Amino acid sequence: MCMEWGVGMTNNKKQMIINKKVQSLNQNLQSVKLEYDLAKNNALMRNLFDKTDTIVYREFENKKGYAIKGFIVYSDGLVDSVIMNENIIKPLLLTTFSEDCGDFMTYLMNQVLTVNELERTTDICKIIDSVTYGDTILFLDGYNDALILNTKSFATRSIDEPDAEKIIQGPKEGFVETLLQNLSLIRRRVRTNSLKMEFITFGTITQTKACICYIDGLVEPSVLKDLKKKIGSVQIDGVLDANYMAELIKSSRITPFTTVGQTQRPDAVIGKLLEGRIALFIDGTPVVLTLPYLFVENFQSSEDYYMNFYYASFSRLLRYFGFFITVVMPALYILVVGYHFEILPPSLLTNFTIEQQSVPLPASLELLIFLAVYDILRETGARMPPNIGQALSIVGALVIGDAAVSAKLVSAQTIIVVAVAGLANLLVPKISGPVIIIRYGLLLLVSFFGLLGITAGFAIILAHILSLDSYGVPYVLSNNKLTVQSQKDLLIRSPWWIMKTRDKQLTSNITRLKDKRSSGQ
Amino acid sequence: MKKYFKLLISCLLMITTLTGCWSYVGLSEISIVAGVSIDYDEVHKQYIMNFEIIDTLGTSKEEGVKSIIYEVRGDSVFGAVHNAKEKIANKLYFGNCNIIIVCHNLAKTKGILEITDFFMRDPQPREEIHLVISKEKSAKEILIVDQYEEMTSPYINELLVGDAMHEDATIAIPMYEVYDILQDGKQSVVLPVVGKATEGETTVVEVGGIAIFKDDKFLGFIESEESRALLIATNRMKKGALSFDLTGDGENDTSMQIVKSKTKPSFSFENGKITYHLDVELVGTLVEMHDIKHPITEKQILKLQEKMEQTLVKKVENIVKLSQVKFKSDFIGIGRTIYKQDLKLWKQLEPQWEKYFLNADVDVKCKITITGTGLID
Repeated sequence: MCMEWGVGMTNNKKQMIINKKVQSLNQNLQSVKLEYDLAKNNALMRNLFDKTDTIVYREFENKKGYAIKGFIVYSDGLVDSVIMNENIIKPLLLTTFSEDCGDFMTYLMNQVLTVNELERTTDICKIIDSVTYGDTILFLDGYNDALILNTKSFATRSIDEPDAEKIIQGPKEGFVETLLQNLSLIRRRVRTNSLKMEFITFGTITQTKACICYIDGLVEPSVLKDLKKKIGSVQIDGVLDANYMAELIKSSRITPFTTVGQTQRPDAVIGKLLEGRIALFIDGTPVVLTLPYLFVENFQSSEDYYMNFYYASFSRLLRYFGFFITVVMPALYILVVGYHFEILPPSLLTNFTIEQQSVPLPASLELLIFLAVYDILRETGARMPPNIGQALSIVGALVIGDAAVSAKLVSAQTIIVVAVAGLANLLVPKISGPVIIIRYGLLLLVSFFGLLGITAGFAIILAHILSLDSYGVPYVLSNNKLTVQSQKDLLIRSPWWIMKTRDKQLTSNITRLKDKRSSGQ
Repeated sequence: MKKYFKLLISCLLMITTLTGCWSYVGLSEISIVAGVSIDYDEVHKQYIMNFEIIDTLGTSKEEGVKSIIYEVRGDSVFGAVHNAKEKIANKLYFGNCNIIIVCHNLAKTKGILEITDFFMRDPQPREEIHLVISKEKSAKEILIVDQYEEMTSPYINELLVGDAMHEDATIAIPMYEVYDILQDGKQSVVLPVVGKATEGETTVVEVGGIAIFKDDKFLGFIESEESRALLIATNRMKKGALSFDLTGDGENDTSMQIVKSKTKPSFSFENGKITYHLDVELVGTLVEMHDIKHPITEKQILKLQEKMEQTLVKKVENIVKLSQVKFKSDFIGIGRTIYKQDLKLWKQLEPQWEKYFLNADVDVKCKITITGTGLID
């Protein structure tokens, strides 16, 4: 507790300094007012976007009827030039204005400009915000306000399957970096008015848009309130990826376990929304946060729900097993060969001994080094251009795997243990952060303290996991929830006709399926 | 966090200071003992122990596992094991040692108690370790036999275990039982026997027969055929085969493979004389028969069963007689049966048990059921 408090203190100090600066900046802006004089407004804008050459100022004059004069401001590259030419500049220049048009701003808004979204404002902050987001601002001579016209158009990635969460069966769409496009992927699938999307802004400098998304009636109000409170308490200069927020809004911040989910799949997000969870979309990243996030979700995959339930259950059990193996295998190996080799069958002991007596290092040090080598290989592979992959696999497989064993640098069983532990890790990509810490931790414990070390390690991990919660929901199942319905989606994926209720911990509206066939049975 | 940290530190401190579980022993520091042979040098009054140790450095993947044999002498069993340090740098590891071969001369003069005591007391060797008696002049001869297998001791162990599963020509009795019987003193120990045989130009080991003891001293051997009767009499028969000479011409002509075997011992004590009852129940299939013309009828099977029963009764009676007359050693376990079934009587008989045992009558009842006759008939 003490440590967390200390971190909080320093954070608070920094935050206060930032807040003061931001506030003073905003106050300066808010005190600035638009003028009736066009030239003054022009000078104001040029002053605001001083040394910003991407801002374009297009001045115009129409003298067909009553003469009007103005200029538009936009950020080059963020606007659609077709809309700009056809729907803004063309009508402005070709319309004949007369004196009985009344208020020209209103006339423009209502009868001239063919732009879907526009807003009349005097707020300088809003104008800056809009220009930098791809909107066009129209100033007219003689008016002390401006029109914000929606002309947003910027290069986006096409929607394709996320690399990190590939599946074989089921929807293959993935989120992209544009917030509105991502929201459209959700809205298209959930066509109800109870799907709520609330915009908020993060980042005192980046002004990143974000959206809290939930289904009204399913979401637990306390969780929503908690989330909003946590978000409100955060002021950061910029948010580039969802993980910034994930770490900031976590319930327990120090734990290696994730208590805020991250996904790139719209179908996964909707699945979570339907269970009463909340999604947090952040502009500029394809990763969407979902919460509360429980321990089991590390082992669930979207595909589980799209495939035959026998197969899906088997895969899920395999994932649990993989987690266990990848965490425990190195430690167990050292436990067996270092302390309790009586447990080995004679032939295996003989082989192990023969191998171990021909290599220079003791087993635990050897394993530690080669686990590190594996992690180096993995990390290299993850960040490398694909065309060097071949060289990497040669280094990995031949040099380290085969040659090191032949040269009697490392025993074959160590390589096998490392390989199995590494392979099993790939089964549970969502939990690979804690896995690495636990794996090395247990290995060190067992190297020094043997069986008791491993037992103590397990006790600590278990106590830690049991103490965690995500937004008030226990991270692992609490003892009073042991019912058939609470087990249906944990170790195995029950068939859809059994999963009739939502998790009671997540929502109070628990009925999700009414099925006459299965209830009659 | 601070609380967690304190907890962690105290846990680790306790593990290191209060327990002994942190003694890391690398596999590179041990020499795996596969088997041991024990002889006794009467002249120098010394135990001669031969350790068959797996040759971890000389073994290559192509040739399979090899072993080296080290001879060590010492005044006692522990002394010899201790002296092994002079020749073997690594720590001797007995956890995988399956076989201890003891020379019958040693077993006769010195007894086996010292050996069982050491191997039971030492924490490393397993309690299931097999103590076998060498038929040859010394136990070392068995260990250094030039057989096809690279290592002798594991092979003897395989022979013993395989024998217990299928053949029952000898007895596979783990060390802890031997030790129990020795401590108990109400029954005599019997141990498996291993010897040498010539197979073409090489000599191989063979198991068969049983060594009979009185207390912890060796008395003599009995042959494979008698050992089966002994196994039946002591309810140790599992899946063995029995052969019968039904025609009475001195040659075995009928065999059965035992599927299930059960022997229930009981006794009666009348007029100062013990009668030992054995109820043998055997279920098995016919595997060999030269006598009857095919096909066999049910009547013939009944007749066959009856004949077999008569023969078996005789065999079992003979082995009990053998224990009384030839060996004067209660390896059948009559005393143990009385002790188990009637403690009061046993306490009464115990001071003069030798006399009661030698005069005891034996009454064997046998029930053989043949469930199948193989593919013929």
